[in-house]
Amino acid sequence: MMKMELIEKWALHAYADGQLGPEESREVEQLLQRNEEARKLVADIRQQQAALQQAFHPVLDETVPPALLRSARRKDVAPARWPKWAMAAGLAALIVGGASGWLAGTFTGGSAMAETLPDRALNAFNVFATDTDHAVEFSGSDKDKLGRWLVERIGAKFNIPDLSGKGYNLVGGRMLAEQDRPAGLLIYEDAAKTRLVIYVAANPAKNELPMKVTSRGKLVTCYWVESDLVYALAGQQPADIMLPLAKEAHEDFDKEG
Amino acid sequence: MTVMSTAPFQTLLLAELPYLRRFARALCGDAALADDLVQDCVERALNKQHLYDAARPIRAWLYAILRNIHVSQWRKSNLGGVQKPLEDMEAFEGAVAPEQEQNLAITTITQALDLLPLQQREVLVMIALEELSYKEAADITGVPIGTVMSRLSRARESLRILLDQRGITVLRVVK
Repeated sequence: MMKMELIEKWALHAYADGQLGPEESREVEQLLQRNEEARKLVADIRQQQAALQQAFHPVLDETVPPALLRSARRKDVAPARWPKWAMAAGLAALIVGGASGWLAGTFTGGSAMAETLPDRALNAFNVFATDTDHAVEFSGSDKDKLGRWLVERIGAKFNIPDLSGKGYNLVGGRMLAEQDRPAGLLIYEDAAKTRLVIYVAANPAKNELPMKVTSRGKLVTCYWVESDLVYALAGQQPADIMLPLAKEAHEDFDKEG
Repeated sequence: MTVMSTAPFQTLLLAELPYLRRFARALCGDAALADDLVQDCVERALNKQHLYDAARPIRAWLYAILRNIHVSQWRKSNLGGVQKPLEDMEAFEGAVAPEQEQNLAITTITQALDLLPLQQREVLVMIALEELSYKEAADITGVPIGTVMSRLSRARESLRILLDQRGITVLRVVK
């Protein structure tokens, strides 16, 4: 029997998983007709799937433990804010004038780290993002090395966000001094060389704050605070461009590779 | 404007609890550990609900949170750097009476799954059990689709070898 190519094996997996379009599926079906090894692989895949589903589908019918239901029904959580950000009207309500202003009622933390966060990010943007030659210590092509270095110096684990899906490539990163502690600055730019920065530093206060937006002149910062780290994305782009980027970065920072 | 679900976030979350429990059970094998994982996931999801884009399916979003917590817990545990070898078949030894065969079969697939390296197991669980697309699995794990596919095919090959060694074919399991 003819030995299957790796690409054919992958096609068989994709076929069994329903990941192929009609035309590709027809090609795989032809392969199945003439190749016994291919038929065996697809049969194995389906049998394993049936066994897995038989083992774990009954979990769906179990009673959900009361403690879990209580957690999910918790009342002391802020309502979802994100969908409003997609709308200009909602956006306007989130933008507060001047970096010292805060969204009424939502800022409760006493963390000095968080209070000065937008300013620190904007200052870093002004100093470094405008330098076209020597803005970074590590270039974006050394993303892994840069990541390890920043994580090691800052002392909390995070993943460098990939914003290329939104048109922003990583130029690189550098270390900043934040009082007596290291902080990291990541610099991104789009095809038109428009830059933005992401500031990241340890959070000694260990508090958490949801994402907020603030502006200073033309500069916009989106910032959020998690128990280990504080983050701020800063640039001159309008808030309706910055917010989706900040959201993408937020998700990517938490990703575990 | 995108179409958004009108149900409040917590209503959506409650409806997903059974699915989160199934996903967690398959990821960590142990029922109590799995519910702890779901608990952590629910708390994190509530704290991060402002990040949920209602135009996208909530299940994949929640699975990503649960999966990230699982990976970081697994890294923190001592087992983090050590991969269980495929030859480690101790968990499969022991005589079992024929009437227990049905139970044995289910325990066996669970144990076999547990012997897979985490990266393979999570991809297999997402695709074969939870029936997520390759793209969704790639988004959740933060790796390219090609990596998802190679992990998936290695997972299936490992699982086949494990089940063959035990002398129980999967075909018998599903009867």
